[in-house]
Amino acid sequence: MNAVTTLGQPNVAAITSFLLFIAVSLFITYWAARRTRSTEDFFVAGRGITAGKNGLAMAGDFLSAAGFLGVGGLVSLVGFDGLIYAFGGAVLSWPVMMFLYAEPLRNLGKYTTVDVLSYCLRSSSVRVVSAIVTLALVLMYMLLQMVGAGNLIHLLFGLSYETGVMIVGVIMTVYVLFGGMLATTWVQIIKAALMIIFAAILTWLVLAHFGYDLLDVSRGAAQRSGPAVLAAGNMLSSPVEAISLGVALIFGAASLPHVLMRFYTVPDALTARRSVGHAISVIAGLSLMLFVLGFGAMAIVGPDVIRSVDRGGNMALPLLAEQLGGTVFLGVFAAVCFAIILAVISGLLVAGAATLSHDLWVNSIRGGRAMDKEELAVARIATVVLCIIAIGLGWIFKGQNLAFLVGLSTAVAASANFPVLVLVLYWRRLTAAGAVAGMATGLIVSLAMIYMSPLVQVDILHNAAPIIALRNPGIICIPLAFIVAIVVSLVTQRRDQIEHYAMIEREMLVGRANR
Amino acid sequence: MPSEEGLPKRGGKNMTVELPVSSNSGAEGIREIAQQRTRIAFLLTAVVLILYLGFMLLIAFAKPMLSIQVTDGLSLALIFAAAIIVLAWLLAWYYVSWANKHHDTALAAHQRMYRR
Repeated sequence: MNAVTTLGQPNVAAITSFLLFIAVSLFITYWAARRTRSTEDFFVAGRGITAGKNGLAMAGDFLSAAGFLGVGGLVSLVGFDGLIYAFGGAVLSWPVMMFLYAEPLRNLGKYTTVDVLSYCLRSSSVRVVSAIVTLALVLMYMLLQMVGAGNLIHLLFGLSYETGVMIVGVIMTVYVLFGGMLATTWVQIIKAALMIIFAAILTWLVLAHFGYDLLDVSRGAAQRSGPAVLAAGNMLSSPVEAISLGVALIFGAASLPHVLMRFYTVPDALTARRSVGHAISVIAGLSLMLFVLGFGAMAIVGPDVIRSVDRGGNMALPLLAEQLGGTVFLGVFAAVCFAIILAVISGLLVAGAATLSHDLWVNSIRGGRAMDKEELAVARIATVVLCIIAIGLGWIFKGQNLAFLVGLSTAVAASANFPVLVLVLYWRRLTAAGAVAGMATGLIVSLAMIYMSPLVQVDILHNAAPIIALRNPGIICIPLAFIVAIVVSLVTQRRDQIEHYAMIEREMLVGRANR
Repeated sequence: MPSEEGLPKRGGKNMTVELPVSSNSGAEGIREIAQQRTRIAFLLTAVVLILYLGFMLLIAFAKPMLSIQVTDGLSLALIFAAAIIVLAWLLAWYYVSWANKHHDTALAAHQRMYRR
């Protein structure tokens, strides 16, 4: 496909490593399937995951191949500006998640965060609305990941986009359907470990190339593309836009249902807290390595070559691997990327299946009277249905501009999930009506503002001017969701509000009595 | 960086939680433990936000300053960016060690005293 690289051509090392990964992961699935008997096994791996493993799995759930290769590529093309997204979204949201959520959610929840809300607020309408928000988030992330996976597989292996989407969908279904959360967790652990190992090897190769002088890497990049790449460029010139994006990234990434679900896979609050600590170490380390890798690719491969292979820069790191380690290393690296891509929607699938089966089917439609067996069967059906939807969406949205969806999913997580989750844990006067109003406001206002923003009006509908200029609605829809939730709560206070919260506050520390 | 040096003192101020022995079910003590954790959690969250928003505002308002190179190849922007990642890690580490040392101990002591 291109004279400068063997990317996209059949490669023995790639195929061997890829088959090895498939064999190992299927063995794990077989092993996990024999240990998955109850709903607790299927949804939360029997709550037996240790802090270190859970930390790796959380990081694995959170770091997608698209994110890793995308940020690396963006840095290699534009320099410092490419890192801005990585901060809020990838690094700073994790301490926030640890401080605000880890222990309380572990102690209050059964399988999902929807559970926590409906339990604390004693309301089934809260359950339904928060399940809708969760499903909306799961579907948006699935779509984004599927489209990313299809594109990456096409670029890396020369397979067609549709085949790539299909492979990811089918293998994911096998993992989740048979191995449940236990297999998913192990797949994510392996993925995160592979990511760290290969990022470290590649970082080491870059440093070796520059005689182990860290500053020579950035000097090399500055020489190639000018010193401007080492500082902030034109991205985010407006301070309002900067704050709006920043807040939405931090709070949104801290409130993703499939990442929060991992808090229920550990035995206690202490382990939940420690897991996030491990996850932060992994993510901080990878982010720092991405500095070196991005600037290294800019200096060694060069933006022109990177752009000639893929305009968005997604192939910067594989190209860097080829240039520094040769064709065999590229093969292994590409297979690792494939493993990372494969794992990506497994966590989303479990989260979506848990919400459909546990929250909606068992607790809303059947009024909590379903047997364990039925819940498990529904969860498995939900897994297959979700996967078919994910493959279908992936095919429909081939080649579409999905920038609006990135903004929308972040805005929905930050404004429909975050405010109500914080209020339910820390404000004793939140009522069910307040929570429903807050979540609905966050969801609807995010949708409306993204629709009116340049992302849809100009980039997709090709109108001359957007209805509102703001690209990131966080600064409006997050405070609005808080205000609506608070005002509605204040006019719908129950008589036992304070006593009930005292009980919740106690259970946040010592765990639920009737779980 | 803002309020970094103020942290350990705040965490240490109430490190031994006084358990109200006279209260009938220990509800007062549990409240105190919960509220102390909440205070720390919100304080640290605020620090994260200030760090990040401060950085974003620098990007929006002080681009020339960020492009100053301390030595050849090392701009202030890169230093700040790396520093923020390291600080995020340190804040998390601080919280975990605070909670392990003070929160868990207070909670365990309380549970021993008022076991149901």
